[in-house]
Amino acid sequence: MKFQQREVEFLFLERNWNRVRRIIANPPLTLSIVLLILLIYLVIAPLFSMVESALTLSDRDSIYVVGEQVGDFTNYYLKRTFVGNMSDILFYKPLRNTLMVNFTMSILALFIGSILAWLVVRTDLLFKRIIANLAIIPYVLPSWTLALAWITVFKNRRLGGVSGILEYLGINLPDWISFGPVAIIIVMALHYYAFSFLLIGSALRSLDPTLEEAALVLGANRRVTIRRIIFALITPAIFSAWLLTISRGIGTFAAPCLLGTPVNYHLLSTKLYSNLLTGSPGVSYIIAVVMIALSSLFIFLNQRIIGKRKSYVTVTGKAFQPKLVALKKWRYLVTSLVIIFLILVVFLPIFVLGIETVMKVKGNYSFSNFTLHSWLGKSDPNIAYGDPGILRNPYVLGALWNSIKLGVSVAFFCGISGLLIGYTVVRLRGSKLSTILDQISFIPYLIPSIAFGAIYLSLFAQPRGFIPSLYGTFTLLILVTTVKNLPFATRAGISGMMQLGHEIEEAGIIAGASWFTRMRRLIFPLQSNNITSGMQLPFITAMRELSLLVILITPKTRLLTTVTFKYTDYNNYSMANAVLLLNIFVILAIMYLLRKFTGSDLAKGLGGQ
Amino acid sequence: MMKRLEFRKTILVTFCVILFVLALGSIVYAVEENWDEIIAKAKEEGKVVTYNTSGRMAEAGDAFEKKYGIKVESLKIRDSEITERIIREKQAGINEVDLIMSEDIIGVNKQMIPAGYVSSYLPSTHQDIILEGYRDPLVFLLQGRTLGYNSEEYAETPIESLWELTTKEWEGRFFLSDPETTPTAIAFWVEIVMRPDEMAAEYERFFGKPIELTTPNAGWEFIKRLAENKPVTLKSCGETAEAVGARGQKNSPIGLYATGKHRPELLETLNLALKPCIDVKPVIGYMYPAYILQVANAPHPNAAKLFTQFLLEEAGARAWTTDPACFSTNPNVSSFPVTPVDGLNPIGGIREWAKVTWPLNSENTVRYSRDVIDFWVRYRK
Repeated sequence: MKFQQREVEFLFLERNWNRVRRIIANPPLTLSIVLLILLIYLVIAPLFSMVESALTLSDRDSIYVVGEQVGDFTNYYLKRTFVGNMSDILFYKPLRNTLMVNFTMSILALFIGSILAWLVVRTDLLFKRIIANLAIIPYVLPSWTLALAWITVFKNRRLGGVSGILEYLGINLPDWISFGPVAIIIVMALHYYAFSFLLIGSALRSLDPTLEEAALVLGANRRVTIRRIIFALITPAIFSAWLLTISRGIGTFAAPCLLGTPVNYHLLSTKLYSNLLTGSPGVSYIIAVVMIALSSLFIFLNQRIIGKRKSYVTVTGKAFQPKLVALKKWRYLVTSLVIIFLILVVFLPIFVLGIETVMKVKGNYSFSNFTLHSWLGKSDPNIAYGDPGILRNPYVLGALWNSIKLGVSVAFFCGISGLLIGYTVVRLRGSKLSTILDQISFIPYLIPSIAFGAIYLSLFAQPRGFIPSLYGTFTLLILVTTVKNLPFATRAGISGMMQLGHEIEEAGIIAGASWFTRMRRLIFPLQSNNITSGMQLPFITAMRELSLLVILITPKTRLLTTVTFKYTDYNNYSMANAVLLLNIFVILAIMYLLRKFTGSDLAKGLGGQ
Repeated sequence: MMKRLEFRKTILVTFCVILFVLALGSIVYAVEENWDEIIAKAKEEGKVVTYNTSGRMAEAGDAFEKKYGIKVESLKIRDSEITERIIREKQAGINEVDLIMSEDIIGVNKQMIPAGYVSSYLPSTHQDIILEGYRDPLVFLLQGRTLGYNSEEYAETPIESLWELTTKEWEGRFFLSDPETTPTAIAFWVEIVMRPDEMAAEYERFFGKPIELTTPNAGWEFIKRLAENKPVTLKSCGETAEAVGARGQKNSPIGLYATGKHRPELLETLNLALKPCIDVKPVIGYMYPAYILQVANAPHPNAAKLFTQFLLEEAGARAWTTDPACFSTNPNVSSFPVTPVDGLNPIGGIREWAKVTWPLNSENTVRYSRDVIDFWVRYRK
């Protein structure tokens, strides 16, 4: 009897062991479990920590809350944010502003981006290649570039000081142009239209023209064709672009800070920042959670609305030469309008910033005021606290090296993890695990950068388990930037893997190749183009990231962006702009080289086709 | 039996006496620090690492290195960030920083000192020299943050009363660095709220009639009316000074910023026409303290002590005291310029400045900052 029972136990164990063996023998499954654990640690844990901080009394606030101790559970922040007499100023008004600014901004961005995309892809516009290349530059620039340029051009008397260029020319500008919501909306739309341009552009490119022709043959007129065929087919792309724009816009900090705060116009992101700095950290974490919830809501809506139509996107993918719409007599006019637009949003800001780097004194545009000190000058104790020009300044050059190091490492890790996550998500498609992995890897996109940086600081400043304290290390910078960019990397990885048939890997299995060999010899080489495309966006964002990293930087780990920030803190805008231009130049140069040698495409990095 | 007890007593007494002598000795020892030993140890440690709110720390550090051959690694960051970092580092057991210079009254008095992350240290050589009230926690510098105006547009101070800033004429024309992100700015509002009688008296003097209150007192009333008068908040003192002092302006604003921005070389390189407001009643601004504090478990404690002592002396404080209205709390250190000179320091030395400014009270700042900032934000237009 006893013997029998033991046998049953043994059989039971063996069955379990077989199951375990099967899992180990199934690399995608093993991999997905490993990835899931990692993602839970790197993405979900910070989220929980954020909620925990929002419910814990901080030392700074303990004096204002009677009867509660530092570290106690508290609903003080919840009450303060949502129901107290400060709630309207701390939360509801910024919330209304955020919604208004982001809706308007995203629609404007969508409008600009889709028109440009249509012109470039489906018409006989001139200089298409150059235009296509220039059109994404505003997105590549650090987001405050445009805001600074806006101030330089449109600044009016409201903020005193040296007047803007238009005011200098004698044009009086009303406050609502110079500062506040209108300025913020325009500046943000000019930064984010690249999402719509890239996604809608690639959707239009892969659109099967036979469908249009079929409609025409069936007697539909041009307008009906556009509405019923083209719009219907690119709706998913439009919605994804809108979704990306609006969820990114909600977390944007630099433009609202520069253009809104001086005139008391606040968004959730600027309130989050001021509360993190001197107010109650709990309130900022609650705001962060609300911002995440908002972005998630948009994604949910997006999935609800396009739901079934989503499958349309994968219908094609074969190369077609679509029939181009002839612009006829408008051809030159439209081309020049597009070029003027690009000059205004690409060259003018860079030019305006460039001018400031060669001026001794602000606001004096005469030639006698010309100097190259910010670039090449030797140390002079009376200028810029004795800092030498940036090209001979070891502090700046060290930062340049750090920035490149960060960009390259983040691109590398994003490329690898994007591919691995893409691989498991696609191979296990249909399973719960696949869906969960897919969704978790998108979460970092929704967390506002400033809050994400703060949470990583509190999570990884202390040694945790086998992980030592990462405070002040370069590893922490790489880690946080990689995780923040994971959404881009996985989108690229998934869309790349979708195109790769399972037969290829099966052939490898039959030939007796191990999983590692298959990855090394088949998947990686076949996906190399997708990987490099997926790496571009993380590289760019890592090179221009400020709000995510500003709280984690120490002198050893300084970056070009934080050096820019340091110089603006000193109010030394000529040095700040010089460093900014150096940063822009390096980003563009590396992008150009990547494109030239690998043929990679930024649109793929966004998950477009 | 008796003898035995006696003997025990003697032992006990002797023991107590020895203890007492030892204790006394250690107190005396604490007071009379052995500076030769500190210097020797400091040189062995070789460097000091600081977090500081002022970039001038690098200058003071160079002077220190010249004198003692000990390097100073200084990092300029915002004061709220210093607090944040020290707390994080101490909680994580990271010991890299020896000394902080901070202006964050709440962070210092409410967060870092009570938690034991930093402590105040006054060198034995300066026990009775440093001005009273600034010894614990040690304040090494008092800096003026006062009203200033555009001297190209106005020949002399365009206002005579703080209340004038709440009038229609100055609507949208009062600039300051954002109290929501600058802790010391809000401390001044606390000070105003704490002095309702002076504010009420000044109102009556300026407008010729007693104040009608819609808030608990004249201090709150001032903050409310100022907030409603569309003030402009900028990122920093430097930006405020530039906005006020830029040439070629009409209807230029009045700003509240660090008086040190009036340094002649700075005005020249930035091409600013800037003068401090004098004769504004009841005060033209406030003096804000800069603390020097020792970080717990510092890797270079003796070098930090030596550097603290150095900062309390002429050679160390010089990096700052060449600024107008920037005073060492060591009255023997000279300030710049000693005698009033046109436009630069029209008021005089620390005693004269003390008459036209209010000091910040750290207890009140800690206690009331939240209420005052909430109030300011609520009424701000």
